[in-house]
Amino acid sequence: MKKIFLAAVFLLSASFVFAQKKYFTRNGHISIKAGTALEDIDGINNSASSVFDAATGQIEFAVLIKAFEFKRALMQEHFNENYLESDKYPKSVFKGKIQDVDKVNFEKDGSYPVVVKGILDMHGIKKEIEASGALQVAGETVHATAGFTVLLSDYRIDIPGLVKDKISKTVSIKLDCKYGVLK
Amino acid sequence: MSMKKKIKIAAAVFVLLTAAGYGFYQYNRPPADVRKESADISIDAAALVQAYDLDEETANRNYVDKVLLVAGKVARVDYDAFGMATIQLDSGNPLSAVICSFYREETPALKNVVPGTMVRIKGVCNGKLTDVILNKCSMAK
Repeated sequence: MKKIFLAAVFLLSASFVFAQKKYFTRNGHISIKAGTALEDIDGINNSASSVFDAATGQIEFAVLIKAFEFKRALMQEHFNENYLESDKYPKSVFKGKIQDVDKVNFEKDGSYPVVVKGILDMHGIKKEIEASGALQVAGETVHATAGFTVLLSDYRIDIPGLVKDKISKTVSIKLDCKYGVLK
Repeated sequence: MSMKKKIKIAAAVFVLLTAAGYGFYQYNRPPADVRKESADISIDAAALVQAYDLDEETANRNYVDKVLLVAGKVARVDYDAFGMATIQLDSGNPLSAVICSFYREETPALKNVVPGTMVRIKGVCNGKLTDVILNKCSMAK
């Protein structure tokens, strides 16, 4: 009887340790900056979906292009109609891996630097990107911040000559997501 | 200078100024304030998610860029690191909800909203990821 009890305790604790803990958010914050000294062009998206697996480090993001908001109406129109063609390519998806996820202790509060590598699918083009950031663990929540830049030409986004000086050739993308445990 | 020429010059200047003014206005035009617009379509959260589950393309054609008035039960209220509020409306489908991202100035109006409350939210539909997404939201009276 005692043996069975011990075996049960062992199995339970083992399943606890190896539990595949997943974290998710449905209101991730992603901002893009594409301006130059001549003009500030900032877009904000507050409804990014993201999920990651604490055991394997697999991570995914998805955003709707139309959910980016700009200060000026024309910017938003050009962004959707001319540059990212959101009717044709309504979503942008990132699938990748947190490289050093084994160095993050999800049971212990603290800030852990991470590097994420993966494929960013945007404007119908898939390209590998790398982003560095941090995971801040606080109890059951993980606050992730990261940033990276992309070349517009990599994603076949053409900027007309007239506004060439106003729009940067590289776009910096920042994300800030508060994850909760997926139950 | 003849009178005719003066009139011509004045007309040209007027046209140029109007064009410049219009250009400047267009350039600085802020995005439309959805709070001041009336809703194009009233729909339940459940019906909206069902329409997307049935046929995303048709649903996009019907709802994207339209001002929707969505009725539903609050599943959760979240605030991001910048104080922006999001309300998740229950659709009856556990895999897919309606996510409503609010105007920053509307955050104080949400302080009495708790899960379980029936609400009506006005916002612009952006489409669907795993959830249907509404942006520029405000509480409808």
